[in-house]
Amino acid sequence: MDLSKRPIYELHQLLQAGEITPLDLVDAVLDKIEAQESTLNAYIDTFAEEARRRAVELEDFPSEQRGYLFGIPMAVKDNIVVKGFQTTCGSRILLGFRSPYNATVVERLLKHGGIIVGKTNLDEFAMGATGEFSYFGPSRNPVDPERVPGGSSSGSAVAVASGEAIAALGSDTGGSVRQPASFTGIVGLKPTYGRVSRYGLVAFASSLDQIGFLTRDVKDSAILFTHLAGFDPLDSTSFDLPVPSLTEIFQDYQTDRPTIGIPREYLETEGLDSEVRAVTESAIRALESHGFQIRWVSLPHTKYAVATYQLICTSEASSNLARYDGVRYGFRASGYEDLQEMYTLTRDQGFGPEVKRRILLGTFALSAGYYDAYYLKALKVRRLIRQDFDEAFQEVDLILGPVSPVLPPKLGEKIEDPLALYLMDIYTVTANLAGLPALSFPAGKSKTGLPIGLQFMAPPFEESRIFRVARFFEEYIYPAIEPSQDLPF
Amino acid sequence: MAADYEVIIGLEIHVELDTQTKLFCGCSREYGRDPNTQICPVCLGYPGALPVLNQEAVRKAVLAARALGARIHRRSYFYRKNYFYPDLPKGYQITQYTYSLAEEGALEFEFEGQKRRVRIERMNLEEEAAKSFHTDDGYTLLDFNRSGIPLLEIVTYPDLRSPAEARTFFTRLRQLLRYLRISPCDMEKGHLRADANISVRKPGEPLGTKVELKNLNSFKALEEGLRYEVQRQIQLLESGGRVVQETRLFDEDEGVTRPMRTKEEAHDYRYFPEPDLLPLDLDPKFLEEPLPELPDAKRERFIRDYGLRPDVAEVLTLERETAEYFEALIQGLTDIEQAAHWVANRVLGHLKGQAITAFPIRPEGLRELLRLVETRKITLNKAKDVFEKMLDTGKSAAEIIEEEGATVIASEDVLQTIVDEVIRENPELVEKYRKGKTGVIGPLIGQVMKKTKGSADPQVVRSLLVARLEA
Repeated sequence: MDLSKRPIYELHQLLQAGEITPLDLVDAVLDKIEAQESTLNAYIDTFAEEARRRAVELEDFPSEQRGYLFGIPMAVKDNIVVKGFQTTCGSRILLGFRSPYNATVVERLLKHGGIIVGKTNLDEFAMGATGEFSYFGPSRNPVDPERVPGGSSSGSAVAVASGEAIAALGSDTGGSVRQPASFTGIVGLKPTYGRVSRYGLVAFASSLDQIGFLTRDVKDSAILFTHLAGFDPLDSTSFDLPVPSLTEIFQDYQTDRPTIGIPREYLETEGLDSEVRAVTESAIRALESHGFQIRWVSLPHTKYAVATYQLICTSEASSNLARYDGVRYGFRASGYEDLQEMYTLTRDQGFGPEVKRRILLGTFALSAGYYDAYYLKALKVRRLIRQDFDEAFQEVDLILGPVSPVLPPKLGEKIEDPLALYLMDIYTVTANLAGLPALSFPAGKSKTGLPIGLQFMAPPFEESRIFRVARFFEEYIYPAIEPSQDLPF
Repeated sequence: MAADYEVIIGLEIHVELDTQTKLFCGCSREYGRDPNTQICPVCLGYPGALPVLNQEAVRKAVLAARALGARIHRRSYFYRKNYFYPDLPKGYQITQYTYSLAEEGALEFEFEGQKRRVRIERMNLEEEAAKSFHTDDGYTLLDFNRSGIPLLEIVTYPDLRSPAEARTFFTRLRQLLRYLRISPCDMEKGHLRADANISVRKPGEPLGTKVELKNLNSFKALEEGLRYEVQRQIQLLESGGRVVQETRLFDEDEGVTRPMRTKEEAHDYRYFPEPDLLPLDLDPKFLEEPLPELPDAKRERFIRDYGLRPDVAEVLTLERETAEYFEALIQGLTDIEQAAHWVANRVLGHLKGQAITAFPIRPEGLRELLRLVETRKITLNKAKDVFEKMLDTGKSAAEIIEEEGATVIASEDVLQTIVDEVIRENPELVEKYRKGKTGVIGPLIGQVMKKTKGSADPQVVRSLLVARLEA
């Protein structure tokens, strides 16, 4: 029995029954890492010894506190800080930086008895859609190692899809959890903005960033959500709202039949791959046949979403990344004559091309004389995009759409074309701009066997609605579409 | 020549607020600890750390805004001011920009006999940078203990018309802030700092080019720096030159200002709303909290209610603590003027600028001494003597008098007996007095004082003698 490919709730039962130990799980995952990493490159750092030691120490974990996360080996995207370990954000500029503190999500994960096996690869500072902008080289898609796993939470998606972790933390600024989940055939949740504390998530674009979860299935996603979400006094933008329990979330999910909206604009997008379209249409038909109400809705400002997103995320990034100056931590270039040169050399050598591109764009957009035309205008359009959703949610309970307009590209296929890469974000950035929860789940495959995900979006703080329908889809619809889920890894 | 010019000055003042913790983290903001011991991921700008607003700093800033009569925004916003400098750990300072905490206040004060009103343009909450130390061998050392300490920025309109007036304004503002107990305003410790914008013009002409002057960190530096700059600008204009818009630094040792950066080199701070903080919605209770009595009101009340001379009232109300000492002292005393005199001269004279809260004699102790004078138990001269001994020994007035024995003034009956005795013993002097040589009363008083060992009130002795001699 391959423990590394099983969902949390099954492993939890085995642990509770005493059939396996946390160490068995850690070893199963570490075996996968050892066997596959030379190909997949999911991790920047693995903590084999620490994870084994923790698994043994967990024998003393009070049995009444052993919840679903107890003994579960998990991966953490390397832009979320873990005390005492290096956090690189996939960048040369943070080489050698060890965090003196834990992110709030990490703190909660450890409190529940979780085990961290390593820090996963990502596009530098989470800027990218393919995973190819990492200083540590690209991760590869376990479904087809010639293809990218998506990004920027590339390593987290690869680790979960290939059994190198049972579940993983990621971050989603414009689709960085959902899109790699879709490309690797797993489930990715971006919770509502403010639902999960950002304390300890290295900022890319603060008003869009949200920590999310990459899991084997919908129920595991809900497990991470219920254990790690919730108000944090250390994050002023986190919301003080109760998080529902698993029982509350999945109550009546088999009989619940919410109304699902399909944005007309999403299927009219130029460049939507015909196979992705086909999977979307067949999912709609299947849902309809199970008694779900399907309605067309309109999100008229969708066509401005990518431009709006790019202006906001680059502007915020240009400020968020100013702290990497070589003064206090991380990489500092040598051979400088004065302060100015130290800054210039350090940042020139420390940042990769995509990060530099976004810092330059953002610096420009915020400059005196351009602020109103770019940043301020983007904020206004952002409000319109949010209004689009508000109006749509007057009509429907959930919105369904594609995650990525294209199938996972081959390595090197798109990296030279920034515009093509940015357009890959068309369906995902809107949830970040509007602050909505969104979950991507496997909905089909291409003729060549590449996974195709769809996403449900809901009004703020209505993650439960998404979990219910997505679980129904996973249990009653998907098996009929894709009977076999075997992966080469 | 200089008289032909009008001087236009506006100030930008930064006050470190006296809170338990820093503006956006839980680190202590205590002054004087070892470098880099009061730091955390937030005030070091470590990756992933986020700010959480300190409401105590907001409360103190709101007090200042209310005391200055400013319009307070129920909702204000934080912005990021972006620039690179090693003392700025995040590469931006969290401050307020448009939508300040408060706008349109004013401070009224008297200057050279005139009532003046300087308008406050805006008041902002922001975080302090770390402190840089430049070593002789070319290194820069950074102390992040200061990083993130709350600052209140107070920006005036260009309403000041001379360096001396600017100094008076700054003094009055400091007095007000100290009254509010929102900052110790210790300028040597950098709790209070000023930058100035200054320009000159001939009356009726449009505003001249302004120069920003930095590093005016004492009252003296403020006045001297501005004076130098006025002279420099006027000389420049008179010699056919023109003033360049720039930032200049005042060198206190040399007494000159030097260029720091020109307009072309000025930063584009790329302000934008801080996404890590929510809009600042004021807790309404900050607006209802009672304000303490402010210096002007207190001074007027002292003049009105206690009949004090304006100059004495001014001295007693310079510091809120002095006024409170005085008002505690006079509980139960009848001679308020006397008490005021004691505080203004003896107490403050002894303190030489130190805080009255550190004065070893508490108001109750001084009151006991002054009661003895009022009830004519001891003379004023004796009281001065006892006061010094109280300071030297830490003992109470009663203890000292007790120890010294018969220093208590005899009652009027006893004095009368002594007066009669002296009159009997000095028939020649009495005769001379009665013949009109009233000056001999001096030696007669002296004899009475001698017999009472100096503890009698000379005024009382004189009147008793006169009564007998002229009977």
